[in-house]
Amino acid sequence: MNQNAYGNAFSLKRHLWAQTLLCMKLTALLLFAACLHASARTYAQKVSLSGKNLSLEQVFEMVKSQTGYDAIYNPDLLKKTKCVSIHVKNMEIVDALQRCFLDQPVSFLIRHNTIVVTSKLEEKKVLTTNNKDPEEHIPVLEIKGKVLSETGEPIAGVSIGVKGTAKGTTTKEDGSFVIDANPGDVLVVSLVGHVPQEIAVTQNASLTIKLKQAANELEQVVVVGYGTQKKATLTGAISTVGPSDLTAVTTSDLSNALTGKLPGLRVMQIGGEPGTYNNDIDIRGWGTMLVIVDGVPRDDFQKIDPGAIASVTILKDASAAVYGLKAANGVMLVTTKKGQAGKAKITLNSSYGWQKMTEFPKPIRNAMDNLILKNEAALVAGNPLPFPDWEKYTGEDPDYPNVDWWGLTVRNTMPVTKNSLTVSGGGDKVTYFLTLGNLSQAGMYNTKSMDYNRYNFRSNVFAKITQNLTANVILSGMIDEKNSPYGSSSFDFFKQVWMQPGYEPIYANNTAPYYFDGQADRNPLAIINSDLTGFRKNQIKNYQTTTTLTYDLPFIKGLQVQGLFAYDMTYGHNKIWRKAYNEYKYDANADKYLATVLTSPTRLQQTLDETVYTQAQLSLHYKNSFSAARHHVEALLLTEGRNGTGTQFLAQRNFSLSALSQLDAGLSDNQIASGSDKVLAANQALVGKFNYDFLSKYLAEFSFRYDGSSLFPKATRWGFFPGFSVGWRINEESFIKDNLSFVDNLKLRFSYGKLGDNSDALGFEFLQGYVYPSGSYIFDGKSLTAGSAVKGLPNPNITWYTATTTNFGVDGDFWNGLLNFTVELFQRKRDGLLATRAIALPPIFGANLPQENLEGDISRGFEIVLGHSNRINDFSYNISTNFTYARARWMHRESALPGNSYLNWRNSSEDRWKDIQWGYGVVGQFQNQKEIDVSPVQNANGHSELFPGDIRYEDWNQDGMIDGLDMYPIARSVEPEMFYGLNLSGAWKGVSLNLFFQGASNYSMMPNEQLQGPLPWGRNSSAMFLDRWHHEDPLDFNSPWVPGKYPVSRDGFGFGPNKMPSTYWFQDVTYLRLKSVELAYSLPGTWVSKINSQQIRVYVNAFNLYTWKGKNITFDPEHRLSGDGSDGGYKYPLMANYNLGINVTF
Amino acid sequence: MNKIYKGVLILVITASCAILHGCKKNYLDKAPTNILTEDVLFSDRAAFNTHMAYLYAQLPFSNFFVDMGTYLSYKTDELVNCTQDQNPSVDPNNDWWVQGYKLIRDLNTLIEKLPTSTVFPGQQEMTQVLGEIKFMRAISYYNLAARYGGVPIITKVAQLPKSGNVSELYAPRDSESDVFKFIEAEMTEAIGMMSTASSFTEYRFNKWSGLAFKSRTMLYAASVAKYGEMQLNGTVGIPKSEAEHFWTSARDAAKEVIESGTYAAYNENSDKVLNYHNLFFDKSGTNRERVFVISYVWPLKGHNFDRNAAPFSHRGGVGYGGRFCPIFDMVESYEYVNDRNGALKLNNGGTPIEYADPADLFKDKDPRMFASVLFPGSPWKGTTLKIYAKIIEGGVEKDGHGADGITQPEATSTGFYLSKWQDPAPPRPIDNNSSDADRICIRYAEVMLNYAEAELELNNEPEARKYVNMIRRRAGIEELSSAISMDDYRQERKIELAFEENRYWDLKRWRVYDKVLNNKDTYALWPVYNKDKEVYTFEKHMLPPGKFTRNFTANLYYNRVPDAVIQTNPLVVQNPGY
Repeated sequence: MNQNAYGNAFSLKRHLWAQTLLCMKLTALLLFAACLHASARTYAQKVSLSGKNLSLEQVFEMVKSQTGYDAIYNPDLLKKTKCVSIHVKNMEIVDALQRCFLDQPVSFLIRHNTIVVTSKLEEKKVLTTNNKDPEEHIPVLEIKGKVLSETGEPIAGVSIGVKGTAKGTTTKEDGSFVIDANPGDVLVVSLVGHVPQEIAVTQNASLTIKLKQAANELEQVVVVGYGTQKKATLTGAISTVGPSDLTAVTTSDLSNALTGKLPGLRVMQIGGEPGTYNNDIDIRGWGTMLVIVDGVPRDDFQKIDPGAIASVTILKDASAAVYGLKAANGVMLVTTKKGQAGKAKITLNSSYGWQKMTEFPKPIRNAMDNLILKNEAALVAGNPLPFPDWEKYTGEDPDYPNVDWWGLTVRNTMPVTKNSLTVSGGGDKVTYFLTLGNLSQAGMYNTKSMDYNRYNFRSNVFAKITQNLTANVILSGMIDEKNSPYGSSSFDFFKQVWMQPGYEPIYANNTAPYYFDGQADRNPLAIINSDLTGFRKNQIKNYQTTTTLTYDLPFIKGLQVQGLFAYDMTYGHNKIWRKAYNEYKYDANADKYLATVLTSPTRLQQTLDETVYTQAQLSLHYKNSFSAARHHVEALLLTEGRNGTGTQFLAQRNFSLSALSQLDAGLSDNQIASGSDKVLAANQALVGKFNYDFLSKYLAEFSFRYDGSSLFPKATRWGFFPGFSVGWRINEESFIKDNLSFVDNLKLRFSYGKLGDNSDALGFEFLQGYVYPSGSYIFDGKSLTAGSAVKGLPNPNITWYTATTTNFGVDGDFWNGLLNFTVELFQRKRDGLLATRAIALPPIFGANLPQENLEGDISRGFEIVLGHSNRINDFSYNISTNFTYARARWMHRESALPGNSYLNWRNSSEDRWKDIQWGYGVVGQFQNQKEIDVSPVQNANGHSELFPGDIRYEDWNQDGMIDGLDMYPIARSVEPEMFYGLNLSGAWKGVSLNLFFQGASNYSMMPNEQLQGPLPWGRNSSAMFLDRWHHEDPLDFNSPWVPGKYPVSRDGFGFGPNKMPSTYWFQDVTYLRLKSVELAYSLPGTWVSKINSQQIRVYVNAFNLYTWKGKNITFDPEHRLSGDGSDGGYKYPLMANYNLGINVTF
Repeated sequence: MNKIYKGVLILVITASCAILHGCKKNYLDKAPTNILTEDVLFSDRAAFNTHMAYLYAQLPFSNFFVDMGTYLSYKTDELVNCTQDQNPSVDPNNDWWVQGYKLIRDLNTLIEKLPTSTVFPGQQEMTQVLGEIKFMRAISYYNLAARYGGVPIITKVAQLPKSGNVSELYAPRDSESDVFKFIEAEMTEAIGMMSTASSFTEYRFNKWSGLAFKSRTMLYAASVAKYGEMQLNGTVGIPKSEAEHFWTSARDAAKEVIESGTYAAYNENSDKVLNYHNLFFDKSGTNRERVFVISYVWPLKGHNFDRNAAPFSHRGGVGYGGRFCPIFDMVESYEYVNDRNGALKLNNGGTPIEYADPADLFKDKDPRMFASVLFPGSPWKGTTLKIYAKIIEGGVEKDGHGADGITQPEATSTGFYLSKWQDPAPPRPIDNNSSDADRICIRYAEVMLNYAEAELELNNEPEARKYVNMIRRRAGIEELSSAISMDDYRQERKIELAFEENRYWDLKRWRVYDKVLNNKDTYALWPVYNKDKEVYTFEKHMLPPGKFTRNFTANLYYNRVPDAVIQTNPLVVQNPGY
């Protein structure tokens, strides 16, 4: 048998009791090994077995259910065995098994409550073991082996012990180990954060052991506020993901890799523009959360290479109270990877991918379709037809152009490449993790004038300076640079390209380079040409250091003192180069090109922007157990301070020379220089945390933070934020332990805490004075005097607002991973939200009022996580799904007294859901003139402008006319109330497949501007409006109507009354999307080792692959195009990514 | 070894303590970089001046140069925005109640605090500035009264009630008559304080611009008294008996300006068209028609008038254009030089008249029309505007599609463009904020007309006619020899001050708005180009009623008091008809 394959195939049938034993009492086991060992022989158990044609597996099940004895075997070995028929009562276990093993090609032995099945080769020895001390009589075997991770990388530092003995070793840097053992001994393979394995020693074997990461296992250590904690003893609502979840998708934005993975975390994409990182991210729908990277608040976590991340944790309840003033919206903790002792490991990861826009509205892409709409609009308006000769616009005759502007300007696929090199390793004293990465991503313009490049560097060095003193230094640096054309933010570009009619030529007189001066404000091709119209270059350099010194105080066991200092600097450099250029019209009579000068004069604006944050922490940490490990105590006292400073400088010059884009080459006339220091909030805090658990069964935690912020005046700047949580691990109680052995874990949790928030505070609201600059005026006809406005009344009492969070949770794990679940019920009640009282005061008072702590709201919801993982021979798989629901309502909202009960009903927000959308009900679309004639009066102009196809509103109050009084709540707003994810992953030998689905529901969207009506400013239209009501003969008003989806075409964004907020436009944008798929293959070790590599893994993955949504939704529902009504839908499209990658480790 | 790490440890602890606690005293005390304290403001002249700049910028001179949405001429019978629906019922500055009282509070604060401050070295300057501040307050009240009628007169800086009971801040509306009398008294006092000396500029209030505004204000009050009706016990409306007082006050204020000789009607160019057009561009001292002006200086502060007004083929690179389109009736209102009937000669007994040059249709029109309106065939920036709605080619009539309209998007739909503040030779390409023509808020011609109107209402027709004729003479059209009627006067005011946002207020105060814009259809001039004969004919074309028909109902003479005002101050009553 091939040795590697043997190792892979060596599957352990582990049983629950043994596993619990391992999980919970491994340490104790080792300590008391000798004692247990001594009793092994004399420990007699009786069993009763009865049945015909039982497989040995069934026998083992019966034995286990009666004695708790576990059985360990190689399934291949058992395949050769015969079925047995047996009927015994209260027989010694050894004797009963002897009967079953008669004439079998295998043998067995019993060690420490475990039945080990061995091959017959050792039969003689086995038989002797039953009579004699095994240590003395069994020859010692030298067991060699290698420990690999799930992905096939060797793991150093794994402890290999012989069960029941003090013998042990750890793996070297290449994952290899050598240990002496006797046949029948059981090797225990364990590493923190991984599922321990037990392997029976059967022969002189070379083993390859795959150690599974304990992603959902209770032994897993989770990063929590200012520390770590075993998952089993957690009492807060905390979710965490490890690196394998983050690297299964290749994306430039880390938050995309988190979407749907952490129950309670909501991530919605806003656009796919390279280098923008503008996803909407929050916890339980609560608003911007605090993000802590390696212990320090840092807000650019999206740019960290997922390969450098060890874990991401979110704190969703009172467990966040240790973060005080900024914790009300939850906290995200990002921890980066550390090196592990062992030989240097070099990993190279490279991927190449293509981006392709997901479903996105497109304009009409030919001239004739557009001209038909224009003619129809003129027809119904009673105007002469503007293009009776529309059929000539085929593009064949240069006088009748037909241009596909969309096709000319937009790329179909855009490349993205990603490379990273990681070196990690170390010795006893020093470990290191170094990574260098690069991301390069192209934008969507055909001129290739948009691209983004990011370079990351990260070094994490951990040094043991003396026995008790350790130092950890994390350095990270990042440079990113985005280039884009001057004249086209995605807003400008889509606005122009959607409305640019196809009947206009690219070039005047069809002659390059005379860009035609058409109806769009700028020629769409010219604005994406950086050489012609200028560029924007946006560079951000980011440098972060974190130094931590930890000292284990020698005089008190378990007491540690730690100091941390972080210095983060961000340096932004922006260059905006606007070039004057011409667009042309052609005068055929004079044979002359008439130029219009655009974006003149040529101008360079350069901005430098520097921000520095410093943070210092000093903490005392105590951890100990008492009374034979019955009482576990942990305590933390910490003080920290954080301060930010920054400065900004801007210079601008106009140019007569446009060949050099340097300020030096500009003119000094009308130059501008300005700048100012930034005032960034500082804070200072004292943090305390106390954990206690009794037998890991009854758990309790109390924490507090005394926090001060510079945003508030002296008297009110300090706040005290306490929280507590308790937990009860029911499975540790004997009534479960003894009766329901399939229950691995069952825990009830409750938490309650007060958290604060200052994020909406404007700052300096407690000061009086005049705000400069505010407005400006020219007093002398020559020079500008900047103005200063009265700041308004101060509020000397302004302070943080508080959130009271309550969370109740249940966790369960059953049948060793076959089922696990978590249910959370939560409520967050906020008081003292900042608002201005102005609307409650008579305007004749005349003053701007300051922010005051006036309003309140409440948010409630639940989360459910369900998981299942299993292994069938070589195939292991994992299913996990999560669901979050949250909805918020106002408790108190500042508003003026309503004039009457109707106004109260219509306008009040008091004690009302926050996401209500008002609008009109829609009966349908008018099918014919008769329906129009008998309908209620639809608008101020009666029925005079209506045609079949127009929207027929519901006369909700039945007063015979449609007006504002007919509006009622018809929809919910753009933030989804439900968010869900489903992860399916499977692995078979070297192949792994990971499918991830994610979706959202209970929200809606209403399009506007060019997505709501055709012919904006009389120009082109969104292609969807071709599906419209129209006359059969587009030139004849009297021809019959042909129904369509949208109303009949009207010039200038369509007919106003059709566009009111109504159920016609508000669309439920529920979706489920196949967010990511990854198929990976690890090359067989024999091939890999030939090139001295430890692992070679190739993969293909895709992101945003497919979306299920309502059939009427013609855009990407996650994108929420113009969902907030202000952006006109001109958002950069979301991207689907397809990547090929390779991961090589040496 | 032990010593080393203990040393390091102590270092860490001391460093952290130093950072956290050593600076604790002011670690959390940060100073803003954008706030001038009250102490500084009331002791430093430059700092005080920044606040004055802010206050001047807050004055409610609707500035359609910057924000065309506020342009009051859209609401009148002068012009339309071809690209938008018309709705004359809404005052674009409807929020002025809130804004106005904010400004009034700032002014009240200064009136209380300035006299005891050390900003100014001498009493004289202090008096001048206090006069300006008082005058701003009076202008603010005028703008409230012209919109809402009577409003609460607040002259003290109110404090938040200690009891927390906001009802202590409630105040009822004073009568419209009292408000105008308060404005009159305040203006008189302020005018007395403001000097005519060296600090005189047209960009700040001074004695003369104060008097000029006073004549406008008093004319408004007098008209309301004479033509309006009293409602809500005088909360809106002024007793008829007070009309004469206000006419007299208006006349005296205007007369004082005239007699001072400070100003003169602009007459620097013998070409009457150029002269009238340049009046709005000439920033030099020779332009003595500028009484109160908001200044623009590119690139410090520019506006978008050229961008918004440009004919289609002359638009700047940023688009827009064609936002101001004078309507057919307005163009007909311009008289001929020697004929007071300005009707355009489209037909001869029903047969369209053929013109070889479309501009011939406008031959002999008032030079002020040529300086204010662009029409089919207008010369403009070296070209001739090609505006036509239809073409007849080979005997077939089809859509015209002229280079400058009609039916081009963003081109005129009335056949006309506004050129009053358009620069025929802009010094730079049209772009956002590329224009810097000054906005003249009140000019000498208006003062002369105000004087004429007051004299006419006070039955001094010869004096009124004299001033109307001075305006007509400067414009270059025939003078009126026989006694003029009120309609004659109003016709002259309409033309001389066309598009300058006076007409909106004039129609309101004369209480003729609901007659002038009574379900009024809007007409365009549709030129038809006969390509076969190379001649033009013209049609009077009605624009789509749904988009352009305007109506003004009688309740609109007073704005609706914002609901929030009444909800937060129950003593305030709503205006009639809402």
